[in-house]
Amino acid sequence: MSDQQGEDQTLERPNRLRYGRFFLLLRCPRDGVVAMRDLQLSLNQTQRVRLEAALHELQALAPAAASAAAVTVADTIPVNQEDNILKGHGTLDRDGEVVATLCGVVERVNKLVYVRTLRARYKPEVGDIIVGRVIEIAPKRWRLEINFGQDAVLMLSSMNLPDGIQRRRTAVDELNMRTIFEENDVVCAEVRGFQHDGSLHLQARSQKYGKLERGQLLTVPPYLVKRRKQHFHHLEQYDVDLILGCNGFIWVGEHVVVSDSEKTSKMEDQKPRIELETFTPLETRKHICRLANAIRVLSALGFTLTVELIIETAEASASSNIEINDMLGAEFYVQTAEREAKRRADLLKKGGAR
Amino acid sequence: MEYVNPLTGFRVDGRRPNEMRQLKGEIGVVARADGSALFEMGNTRVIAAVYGPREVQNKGQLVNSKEALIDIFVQVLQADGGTRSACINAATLALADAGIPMRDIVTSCSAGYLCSTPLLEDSAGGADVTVGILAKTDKVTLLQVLLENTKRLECQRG
Repeated sequence: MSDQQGEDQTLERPNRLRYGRFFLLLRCPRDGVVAMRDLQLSLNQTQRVRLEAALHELQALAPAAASAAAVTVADTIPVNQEDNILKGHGTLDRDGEVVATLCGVVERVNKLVYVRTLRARYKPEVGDIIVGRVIEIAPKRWRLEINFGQDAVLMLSSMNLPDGIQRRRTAVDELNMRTIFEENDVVCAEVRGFQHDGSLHLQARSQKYGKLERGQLLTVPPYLVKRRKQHFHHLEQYDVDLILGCNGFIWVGEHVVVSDSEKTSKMEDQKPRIELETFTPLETRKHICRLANAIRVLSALGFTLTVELIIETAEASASSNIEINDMLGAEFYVQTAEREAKRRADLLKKGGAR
Repeated sequence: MEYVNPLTGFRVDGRRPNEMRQLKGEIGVVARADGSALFEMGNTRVIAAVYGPREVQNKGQLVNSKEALIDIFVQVLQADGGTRSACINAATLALADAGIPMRDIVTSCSAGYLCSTPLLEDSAGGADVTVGILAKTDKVTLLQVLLENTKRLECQRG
């Protein structure tokens, strides 16, 4: 994960761990060094034992059916009836047999058989909420980096103008694109469609989309963010906005009031910038950092990110009086794994009892 | 000249002629890459990283407009013979890790031949052959024989 410093001038980060760009995953059981996707921790003997126990328990709790259906490349997929089976993604027909072309888990939905990889790349769908960073301003459009193979395009016509009036974009508007978004700005938008070469078209017409300021941008593997009904979360107890982008970019920032009337928002926007610079209060900043670190730990452990889990992890760290920068240390890492194992075990017991 | 000890039947490193070196593979070693793998064959260590499929910058390269570019980077960390095989094995694992659909896994190994004895994973200074095989479909994708040092050997024997 990387945290960018561009957009949060008024936000101090009390802790900053350096993540090496490339490093080898060296699991040396003797030394107890665990490196999992950007977090490098050295565990002592007890911590290593506890971690292994927790991971083992999590693996045991996973549904047995999942491991049974694992295939590697060129494995034959057993099908009940040879005819009328739809061969989906990751399969191939060879001599009448269905053969896997990917390593993963076989999924069956009615007559469709396909192979799902465990660490899938981001697969965009129309209507996905994504967070991106502007990397280029091109004629009548912005290009955004979104943790995908190609950059996404946000057309000027897909963006609300500052004065709020719906009108045709003129040449003056084109020249003033920089007043809306500049390079390195973090933007929230929705997928409108696909271009012919496979890259994404975005739109940011609603008030909830647009430039994101005063916060942290986190990168997590995209498969940890599942598609839900709500991706915008306003955490009232912390006064923090949490946006879980489907592309793996997560925004944690100070809460921004989304005003309904566009005229009043224009007046409000201009005044603070010219007259005084309001700073994010220290408490809010601490909450932002706590939530961001909770996300980092959960992502390093490979747990699916949901709002409830993130809040629970952040609250657990606060209640255990763990310092914010210690959240990225070995002890909290092991504790989080144990807590998740316990939570899932409890869930299973509750489900079984009923 | 004897490479295999006639009394014990072992080679210099303690292997019999038909024994391979210790193999070790690991995936997901390069965090930023779409897929990556570290492959060790004895003391030969190779790391492979795969980026893609992605957009092609130079449109002139495309034959079919639907093509995508897959970059495979292979780095030899330690070379102790059989580097080509290790590179192929590492690249295959990296491609599987990246989730790129493939027909089959390519496996590769090399062997040498000296004093009428085939030696697995050894060039022994003589000719050696590297073979790449598709495991399940039973096809050969690479068959390469190198004869670099044989001429020199012949001269030495007089």
